[in-house]
Amino acid sequence: MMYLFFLTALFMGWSLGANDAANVFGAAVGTKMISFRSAALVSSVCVIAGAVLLGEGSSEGLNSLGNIDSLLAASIVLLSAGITVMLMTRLGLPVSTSQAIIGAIVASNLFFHEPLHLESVSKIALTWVYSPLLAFLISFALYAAIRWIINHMRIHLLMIDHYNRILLFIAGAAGAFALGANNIANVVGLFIFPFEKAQVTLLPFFPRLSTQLFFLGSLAIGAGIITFSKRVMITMGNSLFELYAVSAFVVVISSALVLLLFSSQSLSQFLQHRGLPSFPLIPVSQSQSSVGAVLGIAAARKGWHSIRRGLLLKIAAGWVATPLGAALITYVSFSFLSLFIDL
Amino acid sequence: MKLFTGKNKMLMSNIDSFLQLIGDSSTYFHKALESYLSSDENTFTEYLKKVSVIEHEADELLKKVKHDLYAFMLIPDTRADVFRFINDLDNIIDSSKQLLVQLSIQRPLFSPSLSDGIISLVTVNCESMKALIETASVFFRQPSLVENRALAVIRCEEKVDAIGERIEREIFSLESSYSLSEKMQLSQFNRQICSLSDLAEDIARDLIIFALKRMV
Repeated sequence: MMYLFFLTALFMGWSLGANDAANVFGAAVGTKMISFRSAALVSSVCVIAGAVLLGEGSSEGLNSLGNIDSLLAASIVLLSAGITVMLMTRLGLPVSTSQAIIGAIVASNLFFHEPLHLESVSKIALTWVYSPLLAFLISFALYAAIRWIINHMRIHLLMIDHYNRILLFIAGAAGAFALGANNIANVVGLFIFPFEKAQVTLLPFFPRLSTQLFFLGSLAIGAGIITFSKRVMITMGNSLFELYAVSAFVVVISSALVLLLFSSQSLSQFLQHRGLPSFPLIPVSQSQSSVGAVLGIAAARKGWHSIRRGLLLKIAAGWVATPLGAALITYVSFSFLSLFIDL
Repeated sequence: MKLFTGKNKMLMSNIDSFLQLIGDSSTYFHKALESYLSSDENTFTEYLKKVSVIEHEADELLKKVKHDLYAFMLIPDTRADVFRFINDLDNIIDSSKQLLVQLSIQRPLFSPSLSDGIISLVTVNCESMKALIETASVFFRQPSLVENRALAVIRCEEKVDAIGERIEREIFSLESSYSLSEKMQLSQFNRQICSLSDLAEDIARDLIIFALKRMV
């Protein structure tokens, strides 16, 4: 039965792979710089590497909100978050799976009268503001630097194109690694505690249970990339790359760096040892980071006044609507189920 | 994976060769007209042949450039602009060759004073082509300089217009030994030579816009 519940996590992984991989390799595939086959292979390998090597940090951050010890509850939380993401996408909001899951966990804690870690909640909520803001700053600085190089170094247009292709490939691989490292928590993070409690071993060649789950979750993401991301990649790649070749690289690498900053335990420890404020290790939204990066380019190209307030309001609306929506759906689901079964 | 195959370098070299051909055709066109006006039949035929060869080579290069741009998806955001102005440059070579061919067929008679005017017209035309090639080259490396270089092409076209008008007036004030049909024929050649500079000016103005679009 527990494996049946785990299918919800695998479904979430598949969905993440089908949709979010387009953010990292869309530009490269859309322009046929590399074939979809190569992109799918590279991004799947990098997603798995990121999840297995760096997935621990963001998963611990997610579980700091409160451990969900029942597999059924974990599945309901994931499903509710998934439904919220689907509804918000239909409304055209830059929705975040991470925010939906966090809203759903909070609702689960409220339903089961578990203590709510307000400090963790507020820390996580702040990352929703930090992540697009950081992406904005990184892309602003990076774009300005690239513009200076192009305008002053007299590089031939075709050589710029050549370098940009190589950089897009590297950025795509880094983006896939960061996606695996940061977003694997959304896929299997909630199942770590119930599986540990049940003392099961899924893949004996990995010593830790969490690593086993990360590997399986990232395989599901890889399956999503291979089976369903082609059309999304081509659509996204064409719309993003056709107009701004250099911008595509800046957006992908900026959002990848942001995701890595919120995933790397080594970086967090490095900053803490030096008495510097460290980034909380928590799954953050790649889509919202990408929007932040796009705004950073707009500001570098045309000045601060060019930033569309409507887009900022849309992101802010997502910060409120997504967790609240997920919380509501989770609470209603638990209430409905409690009429029939003992939760 | 077509990532490290150096298609960009090959295309770069093809575009440079193409621009070189434009420059050569302009020089040969100038020399062909000079020899025609000095009734040096053999030299004229020789340069006509050279322009024809260049026209053929330019067509072949254009095909390669078009193929590489689209088959290898190079410079996706600027390839339409690049292909458009290279195609327009090719039209200049085609028009130059056509003009020389028509000269060799129709054999119009230019009076000595008209010949001087035509020589200065073609000389300015040649300057205009050189300025255009420079504009096209900086478009690839320093788009911020395109406007400045394009202004030189536009100034040449203004000079060509002035010379062309003077020649036109001179043609129709020629003595009665020239029939109206002969005057119309001379006028047509004069206008065709002027139209080469018009083409160059149109391309230069397009390049200003394309450069603005590609500035990051």
